[in-house]
Amino acid sequence: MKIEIMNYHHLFQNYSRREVLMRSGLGIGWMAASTVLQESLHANPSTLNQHNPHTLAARRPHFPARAKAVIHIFANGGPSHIDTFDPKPKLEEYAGREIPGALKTERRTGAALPSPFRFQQYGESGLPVSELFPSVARHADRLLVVRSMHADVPNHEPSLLLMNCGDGRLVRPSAGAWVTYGLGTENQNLPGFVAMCPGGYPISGTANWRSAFLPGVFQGTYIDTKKKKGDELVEYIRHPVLDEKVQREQFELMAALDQKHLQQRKTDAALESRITSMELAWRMQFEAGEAFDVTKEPKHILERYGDTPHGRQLLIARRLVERGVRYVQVWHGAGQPWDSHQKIEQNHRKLAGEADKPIGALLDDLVGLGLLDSTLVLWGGEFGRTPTVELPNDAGTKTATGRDHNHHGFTVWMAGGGVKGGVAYGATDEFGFKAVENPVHVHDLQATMLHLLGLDHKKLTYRHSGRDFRLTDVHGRVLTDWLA
Amino acid sequence: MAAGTLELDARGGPGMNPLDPDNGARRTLYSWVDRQDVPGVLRTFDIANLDTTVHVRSTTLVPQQGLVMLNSPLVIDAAKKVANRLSDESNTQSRIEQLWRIVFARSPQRDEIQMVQEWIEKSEGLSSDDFGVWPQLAQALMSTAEFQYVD
Repeated sequence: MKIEIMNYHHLFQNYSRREVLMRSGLGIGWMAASTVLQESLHANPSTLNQHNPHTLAARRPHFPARAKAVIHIFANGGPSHIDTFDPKPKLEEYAGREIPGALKTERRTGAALPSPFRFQQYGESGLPVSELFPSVARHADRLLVVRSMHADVPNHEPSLLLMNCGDGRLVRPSAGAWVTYGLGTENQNLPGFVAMCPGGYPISGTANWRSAFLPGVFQGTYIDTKKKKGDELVEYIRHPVLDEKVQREQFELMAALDQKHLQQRKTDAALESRITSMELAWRMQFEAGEAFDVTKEPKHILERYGDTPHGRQLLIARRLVERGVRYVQVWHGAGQPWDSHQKIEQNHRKLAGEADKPIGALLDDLVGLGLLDSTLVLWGGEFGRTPTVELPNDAGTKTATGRDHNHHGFTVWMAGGGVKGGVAYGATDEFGFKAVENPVHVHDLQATMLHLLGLDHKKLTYRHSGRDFRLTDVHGRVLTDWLA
Repeated sequence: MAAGTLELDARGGPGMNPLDPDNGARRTLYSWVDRQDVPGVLRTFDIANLDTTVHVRSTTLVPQQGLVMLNSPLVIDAAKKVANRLSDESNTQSRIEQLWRIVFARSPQRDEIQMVQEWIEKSEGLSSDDFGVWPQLAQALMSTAEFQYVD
């Protein structure tokens, strides 16, 4: 049934479309209105499962949280733990020889390849860190280095999805989406979940920050941090033609018409919240423009991070967390930069050279601003790399200078947000192949991260397709040993 | 619809890019969309999850939706097309009445006409050629709650 309002306008010219529909008995408008009203009433997290809030309004966690925000620094491609945070001197003994108990790898691998990088102990804890990360190493006493991570398969896409979404194959919401679904965000003038990657998407693209079956509002907002100017970074943040003065006039006319509309309806909570949302959009233009603008920082701060995409995006991450953004994910670059199948020494040296100084500066700043205790910083990739060298292929295009993927054992580190500092948790075998002591599956990492945010990973659920879903699905243990 | 470009009669045929201003004016049923890279505009307005069957879409209310209305090329292009539908006559009041009928399907009230006339006087000096007073007005009207929400 189609109402040809245009043709009958002479009959309906004094009625709004709403009135036409109401008088025609098609009260569909009321259903939509009641949904929005329900949203504003049910912000209580104890009723999270029944009346799922679809807004980004800040809500209380299940129990008192240690962390209020997350900065996830994703070294996509799979950084080698053996060359960074998990020293394996035994590899020197076996250099050039096959190691006993070598596990199946995705490509053909051969003899032991010792790390070309020197390790040194740092801080009072004496945590060993390789020469690739000296700025991060200054913060050794604040780091919880988890050396016994393990994932399911040695491939990028499923491992990325497992790390970010809790499942390697099926379409599931990302961790950032779950966290903003559970907690909302503190600043309604900025997106609650931001994903930054310079120069394009990582492998698996936008799936890494998707909302899947959660409401679209919880999807990550992607920012290409290769761009420098503030108004190129956030989509639709500025009018392409009108300047602020002219747009303000336009906005005020629209707002005046809205107010008139509201007055005619006496009390209409749904309408009021929609008008408010438009006002927030107006404010977001300026607040988001300002938050992403690193030139607002003093020069010496910019220099400590470095005027590179990596420097700028970590500085932006700090600014976002300062302004109440809940979950910030920062990627190394498009594709899979840390995936050093070849020339591990040159490639890892270059990559760490890009990442180390900004990460150190970020940790310095979070400490200086008193934000580290309430911000969980997590560094890692989707898996690690093999202690054995990747062999040349038959085509002869590869030289035996790199490492293959290794999901059996790898390292992530955390700082702040309630974790212990100066601690190495768990261990891989003497060669660094497999997690053997206190193995930590990706789901355990996710369960514990949610715990630090005050969320019970078993209770943060969403009903879809007939059952309750959660980030950790039917897996995951909270590792209380990590808590300070 | 207000831009007068929605093609309801074209059925079947190949899909199109929904954001293409020249060719995208069909129902999203006919969209060609990359599931891995859903356009932000569609995401912002709660397009159904393209990876599975969805019996009911979620409804959200977020400022990013407002940003689309304020600044996106899609809306700005639509505003220009709405303004182009206005007849060439120079009588401001009848142009306002015509715009109201296109966007709101009703006649403007007296005080609304006055509000807009005052606004036009203020804005005439400030506007650029590329996006003049009438497209700006069309965009403002399309951003109001009355236009966007049927209830």
